[in-house]
Amino acid sequence: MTDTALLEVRDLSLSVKTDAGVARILDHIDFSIRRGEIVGLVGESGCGKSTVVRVLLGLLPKGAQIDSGRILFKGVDLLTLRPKDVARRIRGRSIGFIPQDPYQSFNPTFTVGKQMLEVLRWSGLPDEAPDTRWTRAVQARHRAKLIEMLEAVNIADPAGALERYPHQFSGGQRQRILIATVLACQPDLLLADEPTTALDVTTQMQILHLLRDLALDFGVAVMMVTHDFGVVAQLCDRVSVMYAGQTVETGTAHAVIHQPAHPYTERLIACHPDLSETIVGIPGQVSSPINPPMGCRFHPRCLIATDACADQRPVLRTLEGAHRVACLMREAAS
Amino acid sequence: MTAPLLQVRNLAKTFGGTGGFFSRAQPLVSAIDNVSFDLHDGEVLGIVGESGCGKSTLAKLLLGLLRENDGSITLDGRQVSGLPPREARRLRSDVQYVHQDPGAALDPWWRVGNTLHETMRIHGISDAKERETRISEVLEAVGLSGDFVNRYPHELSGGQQRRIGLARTLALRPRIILLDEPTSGLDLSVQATVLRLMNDLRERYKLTYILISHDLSVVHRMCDRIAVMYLGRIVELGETEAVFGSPAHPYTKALIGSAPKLVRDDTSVELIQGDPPDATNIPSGCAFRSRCPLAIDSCAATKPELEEISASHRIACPPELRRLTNGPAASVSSL
Repeated sequence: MTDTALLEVRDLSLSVKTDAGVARILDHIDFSIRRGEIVGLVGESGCGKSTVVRVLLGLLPKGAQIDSGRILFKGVDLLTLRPKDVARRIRGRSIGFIPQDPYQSFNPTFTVGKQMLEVLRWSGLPDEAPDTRWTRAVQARHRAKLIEMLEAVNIADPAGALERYPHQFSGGQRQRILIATVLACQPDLLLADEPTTALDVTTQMQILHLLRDLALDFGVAVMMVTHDFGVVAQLCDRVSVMYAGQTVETGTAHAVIHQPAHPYTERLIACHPDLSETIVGIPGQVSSPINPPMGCRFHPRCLIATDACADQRPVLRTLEGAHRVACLMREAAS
Repeated sequence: MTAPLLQVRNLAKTFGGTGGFFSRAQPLVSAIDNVSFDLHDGEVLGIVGESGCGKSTLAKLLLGLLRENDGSITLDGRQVSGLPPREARRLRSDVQYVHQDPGAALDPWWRVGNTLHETMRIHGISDAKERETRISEVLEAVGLSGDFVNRYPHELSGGQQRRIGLARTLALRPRIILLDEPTSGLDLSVQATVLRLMNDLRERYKLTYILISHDLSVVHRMCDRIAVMYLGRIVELGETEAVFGSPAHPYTKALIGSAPKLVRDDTSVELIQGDPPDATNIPSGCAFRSRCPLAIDSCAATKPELEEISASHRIACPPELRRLTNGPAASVSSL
């Protein structure tokens, strides 16, 4: 399994120094993504999902420090690379990024084509040497590539679209243009940070299906950050659930959704409108990363927690196959 | 049945369409077109549709913040628009509005208590003691402790900001609350607690809600009746069970099919494509025909009006098409 993994995050911990003390933002994060696979990263706001994305892109928050762990991407530990090399060779090239808000991702004063070409100028097409000069011929090639990609994401009149400004496109179209730009660089891995939260349901479905089809066509692995298990069910092969900076459960999307093992996953899924006749929710908030609760970080909100949960930190243990969970009560039960 | 609390008849609102001597002519946008519905005391009416379908314009018309071009809104038998400012304000304390983005709706420099006082002062509650009592009462009602009056908005979480937004409207003892996307931007877990709170408050204060949302699951759980809007017109109106149980308009079917479900379902793959057309250039006849999987030639000719298909269920789609849409959703997608 290890040899086929495209990305392996092992035991990753990260802390940030703040005025109030040291905050453990990520605490022993563990997951992997294989080639061509779509993996969901699920959790409430503030649980560290976006921080994981930033670490993978080499964009550490200020004052952040990696305490432990490795991030193996195609066999190379990204944490050992110099920031300059990550910027040049990884970010935007082999790891692409689709942001949450397509409205804020464009400069309103330039045409879409100009901004897309700028991206390709910076990152280059994969078959170009890193120091290719930006000649007319290269530009024309880039343009042709972009038109091809816009066609792939179902933008009508791709050549004309390049000449238009961002405000002339709807939110869904902008998100598709972003996806086209990112895929033009032919990344191996695509990080999508809640790419559909700003969109309508009908558009959301279009984008999700588009992502799924493109991932298949281009053989791109996708890490989908979301808080919606509906999105996971529709799109993802596997899923990793995070709570307060810790991985609490991983497994195939089907197994996790239909047989959730961690109490947090269970309650998160129960919040989904398909299931909850009576509205339950999860009372309380994600605990602060500064002075987090001892033991299991979820225990103050957990319904089945015992005294042991407040003492002992649970680690991920295999339930069956790829399904793993970090919960003391589960261990006790089995 | 008793007379409806709020009656909306043939409401229409257009923007633009005029060019001044010095300014360029603005294209005419028909934001609300011939909208009629009743709101009964104590019910929850959901208004759903994609962005740009006129939901927010409708809200502004109901609040009296915009003036309609045609049609009428009557609250308890009294015309809402065209009132002198003083009376309009009194009326507005009957119909209150909870903003979509509660963070933006609270003044960052003001403590929560100050904001709550201000709202009541504007609406003529001059007795400070009375205001204090009401504040402690509504804070308790939304499940926040009394010391929240000393907090600043940035010290509150998204869910707490929503609660303050609700508390602010409740302090005025309104009869109707317009909730604009009450759960957008909230995690599902927080969303659930906010919805439950809204249900509790409705029972406690005997409120009537109009809930505007593009999230069908929220509407499904909260509402007694639903109006589905597309480009300024209501295309389907009926009791929640009827609309969700047997959606009749192709647009409603597509909307319901688009919500991500927990069970992967590949039969309903993409019922509709593309985005709604530009509001300055709405197709003739049925506005939805450009994206409708069933559209026939006659759809271009006449604008369909709402017609009854059962006692509590009306749709704006001609009978010829309705026969086609009677099957389950899967048969629609196979066309």
